Amino acid sequence: MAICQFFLQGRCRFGDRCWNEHPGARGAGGGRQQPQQQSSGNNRRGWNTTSQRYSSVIQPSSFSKSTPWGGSRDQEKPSFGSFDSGASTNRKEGFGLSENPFASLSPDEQKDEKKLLEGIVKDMEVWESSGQWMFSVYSPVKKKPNISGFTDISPEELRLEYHNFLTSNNLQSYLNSVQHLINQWRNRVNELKSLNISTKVALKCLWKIYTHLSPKIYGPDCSKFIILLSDVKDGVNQAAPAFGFGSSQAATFVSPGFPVNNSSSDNAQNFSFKTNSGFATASSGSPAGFGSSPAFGAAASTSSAVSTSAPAFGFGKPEVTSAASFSFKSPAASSFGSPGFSGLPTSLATGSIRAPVTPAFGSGSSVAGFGSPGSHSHTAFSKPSSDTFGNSSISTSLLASSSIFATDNVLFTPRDKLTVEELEQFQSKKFTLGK
Amino acid sequence: MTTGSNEFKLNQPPEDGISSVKFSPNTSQFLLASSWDTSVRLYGVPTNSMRLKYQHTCAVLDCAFYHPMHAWSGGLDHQLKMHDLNIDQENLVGTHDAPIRCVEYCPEVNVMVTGNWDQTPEKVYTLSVSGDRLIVGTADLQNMGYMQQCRESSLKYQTGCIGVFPNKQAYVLSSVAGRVAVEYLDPSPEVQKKKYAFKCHRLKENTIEQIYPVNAISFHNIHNTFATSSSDGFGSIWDPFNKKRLCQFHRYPTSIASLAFSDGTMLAITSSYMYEMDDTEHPEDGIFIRQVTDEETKPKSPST
Repeated sequence: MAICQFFLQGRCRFGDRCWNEHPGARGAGGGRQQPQQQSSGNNRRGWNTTSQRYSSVIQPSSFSKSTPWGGSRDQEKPSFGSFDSGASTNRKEGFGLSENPFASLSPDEQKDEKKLLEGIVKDMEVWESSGQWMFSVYSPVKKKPNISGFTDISPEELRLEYHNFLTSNNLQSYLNSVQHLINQWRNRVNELKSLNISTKVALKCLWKIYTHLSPKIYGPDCSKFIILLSDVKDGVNQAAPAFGFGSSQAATFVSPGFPVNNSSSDNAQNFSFKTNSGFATASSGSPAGFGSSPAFGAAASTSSAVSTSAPAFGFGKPEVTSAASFSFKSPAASSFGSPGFSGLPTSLATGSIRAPVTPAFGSGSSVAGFGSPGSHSHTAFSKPSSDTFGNSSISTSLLASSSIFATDNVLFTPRDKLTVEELEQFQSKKFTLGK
Repeated sequence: MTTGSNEFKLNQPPEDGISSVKFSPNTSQFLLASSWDTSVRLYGVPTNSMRLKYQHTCAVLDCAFYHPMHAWSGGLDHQLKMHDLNIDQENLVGTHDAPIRCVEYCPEVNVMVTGNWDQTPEKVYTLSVSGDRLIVGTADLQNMGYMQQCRESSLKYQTGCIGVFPNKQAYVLSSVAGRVAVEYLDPSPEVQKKKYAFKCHRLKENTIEQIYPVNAISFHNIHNTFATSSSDGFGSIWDPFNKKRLCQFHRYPTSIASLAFSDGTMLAITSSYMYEMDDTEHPEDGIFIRQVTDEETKPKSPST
């Protein structure tokens, strides 16, 4: 059974009536209202096992953590010019969560997260006031993804652009582009500085997914989440639906490293070097759209968020489609067909979803909806209400999640960027990277 | 500006930003300099004269010696050129699809390595060679030990430069945010524990600390100490073992874009505006050759 997101945040409005697991509120085995579930113990696979594991997972003792960045942040106080064993020491492999990324954090972890968030705010303040090079990506701590909305441009690249525009006599355009980039940067910095609820939730969600999965990332391609697909496959058999859902989401939602063909934009698009979609995200015109709506919020606001922010996520390549369908097909065929899988979107969506949604979700329809081979996936995303998704509010919730996960910078590599080796791995049955 | 007696400025410097300087291997006689004025120049250091100059069609971003007689260079014209310095003859070795950012020589494998911006898988910002290994610093905070290990930078911001220790045990990584990290190549946890980072190249003006990117790192090949330089115009030499700064140079007229130690006696400091802030008036670009002493470059023994 799926874990109820809202309960984890302390605000499930269905309370006892909720179809999802409220860990801690109920005992292990969670035999509740889901008619399809049997918590009879015979069924060692599937959701039962997972729901039991959820209960155990919540207990602080099962986490091993001693936090890396919590400590190291304090070490970063040294005086100018002196050495310190600073941020780079003692970094561990994330929270140590091996199962459900959506399980609520232990108090220690919450404290760390809080410190991390505070650190981010401080970093932003320093960044702004210090005249530091602004075209740099930012990662609050190692083993966490780069925070999106920032793009890496080296001074040489910028000067190259300057020269290019100079020769084409288009200096004004260059200046506009740079100004635009600067504005974007400033907006993003301010967003992170003020850290409103939605940004916070988005970040937290992102980190949960990332830390869940990052320990498994190894090999030459550790920066890319292609390996998530193997998690999906593995995860399908044992792990939580929420996990499976989450990871497959993370695997499939793209924040590729290429600019978006945004109509709203922008001279910045004319830059010859590719900027990542984090930049494109901000350029969708409304920073509000980016971080404004809560990650798991009411469906109404979710869909509006989607429509503003969706175009920004750069899902412009058909390769995304194939990747998406790849990751969805196999797991979807097997366990995700169960209601457990629908649990997450259930909690996201409106009441209409409460009807058993197994068929719609688990079967190919969602895949089709998502993959949408008919149309460019870019289009599909930019018109969330379009036919490609039917009227399933599940798709709304899928998209809703996308607005969170896509806050990550580089989640997924479009197919044409894969090396031969990677492509091979990608297409093979089982991952052998790092083994 | 006046230079001390241990330092002089090279004549006939390039006419635009200088991207990189390299001493010829095993000697401090020759210095190669690549520049945004599209030229690559060879200087005779003891005589302070420009010996040779050859051109690319666009700005040259990096250069390296293959051996004292061959210079390689690459830049924004995507072309990798090899120039025979003896007979002043040029060869076009190859063309990339994107600007070439780094050119380095790997003696153990006898190859020249280039890094460029073609995003496979990511833009290369800096490169360093150690033995038969490459350490590559790319965009998005990734460092790759040529696919043996792919690591995320432990620094939060864009990678400025990477340099590998002559003893091949570790490397130094700098960022645009006035920070340098020393990391070890051996991925085993005990070794990894030794890594650290420090802040540098920051100036406090009034109450606000200005943070400058650390652009260049160069190692003293005998002492395993390294120098860093930054857009603040300062250069410093650091002792990574005792974690101390050995010395800091006087401020140069403008940003220091590149550093190069010769065989241990000299340090070339490239004072060249890097256009971090607009196209403004800036002091003339120049290359300064400075003699370095043991005092400045040798790690202090713990007792002193």
